[in-house]
Amino acid sequence: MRRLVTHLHRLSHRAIPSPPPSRPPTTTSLPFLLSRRLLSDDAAPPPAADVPNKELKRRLETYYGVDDEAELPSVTEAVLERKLADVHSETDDELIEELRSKPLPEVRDRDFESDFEEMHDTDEELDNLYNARQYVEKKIKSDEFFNMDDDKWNKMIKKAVDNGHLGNMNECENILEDMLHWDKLLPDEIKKKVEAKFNELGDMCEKGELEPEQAYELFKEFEDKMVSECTELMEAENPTDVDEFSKMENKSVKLDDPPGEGPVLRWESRIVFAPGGDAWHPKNRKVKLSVTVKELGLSRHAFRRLREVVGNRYNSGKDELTITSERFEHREENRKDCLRTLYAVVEDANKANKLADDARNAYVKNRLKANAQFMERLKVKTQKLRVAA
Amino acid sequence: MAAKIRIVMKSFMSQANKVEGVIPYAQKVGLPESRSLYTVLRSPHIDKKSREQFSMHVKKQFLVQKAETHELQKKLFWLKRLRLLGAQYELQISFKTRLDKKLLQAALSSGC
Repeated sequence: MRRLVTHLHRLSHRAIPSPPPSRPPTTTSLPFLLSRRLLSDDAAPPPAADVPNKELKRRLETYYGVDDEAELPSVTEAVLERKLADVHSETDDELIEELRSKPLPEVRDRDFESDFEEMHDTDEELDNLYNARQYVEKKIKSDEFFNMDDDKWNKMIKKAVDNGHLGNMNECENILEDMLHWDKLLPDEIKKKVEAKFNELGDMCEKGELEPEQAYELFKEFEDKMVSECTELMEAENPTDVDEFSKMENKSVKLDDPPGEGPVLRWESRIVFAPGGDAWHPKNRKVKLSVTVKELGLSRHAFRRLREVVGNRYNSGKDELTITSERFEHREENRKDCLRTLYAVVEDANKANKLADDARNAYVKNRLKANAQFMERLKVKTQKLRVAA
Repeated sequence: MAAKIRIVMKSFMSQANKVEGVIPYAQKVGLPESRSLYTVLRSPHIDKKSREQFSMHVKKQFLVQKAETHELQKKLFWLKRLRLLGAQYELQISFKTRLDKKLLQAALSSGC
């Protein structure tokens, strides 16, 4: 009824200036009525055509019965005529109120439903969501593939494999992986050869020297040759030895060490910021230097001398020599002093080699001097040499 | 991480809440608080029993920050600039360098 009322309002605006052409008698009656009223005020207007209640009801029921709004104009005409007649105004108002309160018997919003059905398509409709669990249970019992997960899948595959329906899946997976990464299978040389051959055959086809079928056959033969060559290469390649990997793993490289060659120097220095203000603190000048003696490359005698000279500064457990300096006021000067000390210690240690040689020679000389026979033979030899000279 | 900066912070007031702003991303260890207790006589002449007691509470915190050797200068600059007033910092800086091989060889050969 609301739609009817809205349509009535729309058509009421239309009908007065331009009435519908389907009813020619009404068109003749309307201007006649208007002209009559305007021309003669004294004369009483003639009574208009009156639509009885039964006729109106019949038209309304027809309108309700038909889905499309084909019967709407007749209903609007009836309503307009009754309004113009001014006979059934009271009863019409009551009728409208009565009809408005009633629900429509069958309303099919085909447009909306069709749109919804086109947009959303569902297999089943669950009327009562409180029974979702029962619904799921039924589905699980009836449908084997419902709510599939890894365990179910693995069990099914295992059954199939046991029954012999499926073969070994590892080969299949390997083949699929090779198909996915086919670029990595072939070495670059063979790729280049195949590409060159392909381009050559393509050029010959374009020039017209070869027909496409012949070129395709030639390319096929070439591919077979390449495949055999590739298999030979694969067989020729030896797998890498395990020893190489183990050797690589054994190498221990400290990532903390600075780059370059030479022994590593480990420095420590202290800086004290006093609370509020820039007061200087005596700890600021002290510097400590540690170095591993093995890295210095000293000989045995030099090493021993170093240990004697250095004393407690050498830590035999860590093979570490520690040099401390706080002689100068500035930290950097003390760092230089540490380095200078290190070089001096190394040079002094190397003197031990010469001292050792001298000591060995002196020992040998003393032993020879103690031998009388050797000394006599030496004297005789020297005399002969003098006489000869 | 070739270099390491160890910091011992000492102050009379607790600085635990302010450390994050000055030294971010540092490992923190709280060190025990040290106290110095003093008992002094109130009177300059007699009244020996009348005394007054004072104490100094020093709160310490140990922080370790890792860095690269080339970053040490910048980090030292910012530590010096952004330090907390009322807190003493004692920095111990550890880093590594390499001894020049040629100079070492020269020293070894000159010794012989």
